[in-house]
Amino acid sequence: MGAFESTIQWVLNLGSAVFVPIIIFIIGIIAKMPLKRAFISALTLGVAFTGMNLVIEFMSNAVAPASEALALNTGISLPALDLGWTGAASITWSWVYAFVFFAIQIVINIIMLTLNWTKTLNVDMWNVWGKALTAYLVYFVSGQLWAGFLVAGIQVIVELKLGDMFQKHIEDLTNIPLVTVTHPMILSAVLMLPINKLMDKVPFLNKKANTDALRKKIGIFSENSVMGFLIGLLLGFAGAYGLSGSLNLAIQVGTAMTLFPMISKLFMQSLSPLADAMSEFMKKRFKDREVFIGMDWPVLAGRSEIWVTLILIVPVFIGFSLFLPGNIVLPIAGVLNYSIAVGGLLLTGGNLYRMLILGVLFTPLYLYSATYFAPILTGLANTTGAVEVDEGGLITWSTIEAPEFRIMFAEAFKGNWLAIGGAAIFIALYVWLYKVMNAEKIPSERYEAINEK
Amino acid sequence: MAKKLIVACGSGVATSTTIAEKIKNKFENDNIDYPVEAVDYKSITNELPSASIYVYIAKPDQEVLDQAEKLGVSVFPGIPFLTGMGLEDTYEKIVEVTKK
Repeated sequence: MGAFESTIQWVLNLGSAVFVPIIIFIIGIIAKMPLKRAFISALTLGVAFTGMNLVIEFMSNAVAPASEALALNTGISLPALDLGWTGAASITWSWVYAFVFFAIQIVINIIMLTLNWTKTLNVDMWNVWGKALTAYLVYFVSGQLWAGFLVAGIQVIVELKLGDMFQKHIEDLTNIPLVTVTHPMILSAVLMLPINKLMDKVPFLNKKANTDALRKKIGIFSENSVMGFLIGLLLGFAGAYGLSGSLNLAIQVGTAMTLFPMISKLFMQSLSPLADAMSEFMKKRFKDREVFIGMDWPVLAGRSEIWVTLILIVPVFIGFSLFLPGNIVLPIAGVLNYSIAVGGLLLTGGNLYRMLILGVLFTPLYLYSATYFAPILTGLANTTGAVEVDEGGLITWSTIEAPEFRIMFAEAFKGNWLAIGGAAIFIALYVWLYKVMNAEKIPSERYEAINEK
Repeated sequence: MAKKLIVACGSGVATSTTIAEKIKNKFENDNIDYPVEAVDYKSITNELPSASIYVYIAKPDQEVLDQAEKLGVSVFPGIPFLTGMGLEDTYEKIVEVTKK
């Protein structure tokens, strides 16, 4: 090995909590950030990695024995630990190539805008990690790094076109002009489309529900601590822990779920000067042109249908996880399924009954995808050392976003003929969705009209 | 009264932190010493009593707005900080409140 290779190897061996901050520091210096800010930014990232590791270890120590007890007590074996999106994101940022996807997203977006192939400018630089995750997943499954980058590139394009097709609907739902959502989670609408078309024929499903009142009643369940507490309690009882043991487990899971987003915030704080500089750069380039500003989903968080769906699907999700054959995941940190709620909201224009039906029908997809994803995420964590997983242990993300897209394309590049067919069908459905959403009335005008007939 | 600017989004992680960091930087450049924090919208009713300025991403419920008014919390939209449209205008109004 030459001196250069051995230096690189030495740097990689430092572990992600040291190695990735060094990258961020160097990028910061190149981007002419003040030295002090670049240093703090890099240090915060190292703290975030280490903090995440700490919380994951804490949760693992609490939950792993409990799920063993569950298996002994009931015969239901759910060994894969669910870290949710915050855990998945932190592990993904530790991948060597993760930061390359900033460039890929920006270059593709600029080309698409310049050629007028899209009207959307994606300024959501945080979710660049989603592209990195796709690339890693495809690479892990197919063994081809180029295939990973290719599929991630396709994802950038697909997200921009999602932004285009849903813009008028999002403007109607939020009353904010010219914004749209470019988060890949709303790809869930693609497979939901045929079912939603069937539901058009059911008169009951063309009525609007008043969700605001319902949200007030059940809103407390969406708090991380409450959700964690309840899941912990349930797990304790199912594992025959006794009251004291179950209550303790409940508090511990509640603690982990409260701390996850707090630590995740540190990642964001650390990356935000970089993300900011990039989105400013993009905005400046297209200042004189009317573009849709693509952002993360919380712009829709004011819609109570999202929260009601998120909460009501939880018991279904946990129920399925206990009884679906072949599933190895108990939803914990990822228990709120944003893909179903946000994708369902946009597709149905905020029709709660339809969102719930779609939620129930699609929940198994997420459990099986999380089962499939477990060795992949565990592999990445072990390679980069971002998270220490016990020997033989598994980690995953119970509500992995865009699973149909990611897994189908990964399997397709592995040469799985079934998946190649599936990917082709997926693209066809995506094009259909694009046409449907462009032609569809905006949400506030949708259901009343049908009612009057 | 409490002196704190909070930014709330769906998880208290990504979007709210982006905006919070932006405001923090702007405050720093303008020599304004004012605490800024990103919080989870799911617990907004617990956060409001310790805040003086609330920057939202999605328009909050009427109930939340009423509570903010009762507590004397000034409410501003956060989207301008993401799109750049109307940013200076919103920022100046926020700065005025910080001087109160």
